[in-house]
Amino acid sequence: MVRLSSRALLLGAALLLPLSACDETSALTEGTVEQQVINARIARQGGDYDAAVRILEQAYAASPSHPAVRVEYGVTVLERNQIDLLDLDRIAQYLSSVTGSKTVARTPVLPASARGVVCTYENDPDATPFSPTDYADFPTLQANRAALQQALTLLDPVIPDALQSFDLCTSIVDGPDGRPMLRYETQAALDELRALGLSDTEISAALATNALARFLNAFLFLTDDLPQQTAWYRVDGGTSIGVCAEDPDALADQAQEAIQDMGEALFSIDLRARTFGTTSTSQELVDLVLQSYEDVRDGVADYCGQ
Amino acid sequence: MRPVSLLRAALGGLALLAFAPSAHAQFRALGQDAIFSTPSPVRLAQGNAYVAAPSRETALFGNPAHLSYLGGRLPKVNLGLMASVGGNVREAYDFYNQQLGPAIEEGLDEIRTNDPNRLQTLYDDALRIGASQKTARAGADLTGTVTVGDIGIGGGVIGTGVTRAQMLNGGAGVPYIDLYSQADLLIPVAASYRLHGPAMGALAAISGVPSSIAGGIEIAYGRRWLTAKSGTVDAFDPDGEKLYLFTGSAVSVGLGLQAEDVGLPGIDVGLAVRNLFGSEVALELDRSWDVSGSDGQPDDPAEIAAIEQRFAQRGAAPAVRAGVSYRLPIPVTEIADARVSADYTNRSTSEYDQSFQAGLRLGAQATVIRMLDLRAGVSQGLPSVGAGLRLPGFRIDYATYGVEDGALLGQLPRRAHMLQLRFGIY
Repeated sequence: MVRLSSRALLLGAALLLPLSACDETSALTEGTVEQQVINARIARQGGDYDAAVRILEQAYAASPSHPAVRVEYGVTVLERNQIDLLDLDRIAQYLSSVTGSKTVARTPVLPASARGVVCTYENDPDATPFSPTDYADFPTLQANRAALQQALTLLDPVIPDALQSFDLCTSIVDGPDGRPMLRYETQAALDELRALGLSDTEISAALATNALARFLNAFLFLTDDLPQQTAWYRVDGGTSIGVCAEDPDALADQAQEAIQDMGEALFSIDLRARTFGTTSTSQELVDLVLQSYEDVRDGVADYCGQ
Repeated sequence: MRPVSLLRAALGGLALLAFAPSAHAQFRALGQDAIFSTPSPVRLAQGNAYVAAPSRETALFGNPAHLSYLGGRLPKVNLGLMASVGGNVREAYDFYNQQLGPAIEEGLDEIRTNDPNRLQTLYDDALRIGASQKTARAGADLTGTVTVGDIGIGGGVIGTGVTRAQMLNGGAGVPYIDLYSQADLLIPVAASYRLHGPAMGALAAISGVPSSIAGGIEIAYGRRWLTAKSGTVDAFDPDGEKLYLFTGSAVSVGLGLQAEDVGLPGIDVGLAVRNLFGSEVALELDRSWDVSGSDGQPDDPAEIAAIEQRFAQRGAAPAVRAGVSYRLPIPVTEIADARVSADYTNRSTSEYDQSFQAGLRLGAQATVIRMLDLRAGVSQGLPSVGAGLRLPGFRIDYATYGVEDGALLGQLPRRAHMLQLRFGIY
């Protein structure tokens, strides 16, 4: 009697064993939306992007307006396509590098139809013509364009209006000390993000991802989408970039979308730095952008005065 | 023709993004470390299924009712030393030695310029290897137990510490580093009382009634020190980074029940509730150190508040563990104390709430020729195995075991190893 019961107990334990050893990842798409977001985040951090996307696709289908789903999905889309800071770093290096990249023919840079206008860089010995699309990873970036667009579409409803309303003529103003500063509704933007129920971690990730995608989108637009031909020059040893266009007056209008993207990216970065603790390094770089603006202040004033 | 130089501003922005800081509190409150505990290789090797299997290692910070079952007339006192590592420590070490270290010596800027693909590989590998949590534990204890008749008493002084480290993608590829260390000084006092034989009265005559029942209580005073440092790699200020030490204390109460021969001979049942009243350690800033830059820099109130807020979110809800154990009737004198056990606990081993299955523990143990303990088990779907060598005045125990760091089984499994040396009267 006892022996039989002991066997039954052992049998029970043996039956429990596979239950304990069961892999539960088949249940990743179950549970509440919040649980699915956590599951997707864990999968992403574990490098399992396919699982993360599978979970998020389902969560998004069920709750397309859920802010945390949109943020996690946007972050994951970029990470899965390996779109990260190194892409920016490589672009920045390429654009500012005088050596190590192929220069294009100095003349004619622009088609004959545009020869009626004078490009100030064309005969400048300190200006080196180059093609921004000769950047080695440009094809990869182009191939990732759909992912960038998907991330931006996902994040768009989450990003506050205050960050999306960058205006070249009014969003950078002279501060009390005469130096340029960004003008936007900082607190309102942050309040709007928090009102969506996003955690600080999610807000930080959303702002960083939005900024990254906006900059890359702007770069692709300027290099790939402009409806007129442009000629690019590295000026002053690569510290500055000059662009000449067939129709410079039209260029400003055509580049509005890119300017808007860059402005939104700048706002996103600024809000992120202000909210989560700006380091001295970040502050220096914010200042760099604003100092750069000083170089083009007159040109912007002309443009805005039109 | 008007040149368009606005791109320079854009380039500044591109560079800016590369140094964008991330939020504090990427990690959650690490609730798995909230309750006072003392991990043991003896328990971990058998799948951490122990609540119904009395031993010296399960009486303190386990099931205090076990004190009445330890046997022997003389007090048992021993000094123990424990160390443990977990996660892909070896892989991280090899990565640093073979790839990252040489790259740093060569100069990352140099590689960035001349071999961007290599930099990309380093970057990807660093994030991949860093994403797995790495842990280190160490502990020392002086504990004693004594059984007088049906009364068991135990106590001791225990020091234990844990460090966790992880590097994650903080969004847009920004590496986010989180370091955390916690040390506890614990002083538990426990007592138990067992009813058996005639003391069971008329109940003893009823078939299926346990041959003995014991209840125990443990009261533990704990002092905790904790420090944490989190942020993106660039967020650490080379000219003014400080490390903050927080401290606090609490008293936790635990209760335990143990019953032998429940329903059938050889079947034991155990139940333990730890931190019965949900006592939480209220942490306050104790001191700070300058870890970079000049000495005597002012504290950063924002970072202090962020750490306090992070760990104030810890849940220290009571941890309940129930289990059953079967003493195997093996008719071979060379094999003794053979058991199979199963536990269920509601306590999460990760920073997330976990599923029911994550609370299941299964294990087995046996002592061979009185000096070699063999243990194996399955905890959270992850196998564990270990052994202990008993020598006069000295014991050594080893365990390798799995821990689930995710919310569901199979999400973030981690393997760990623990070694313990003990000296004294056992």
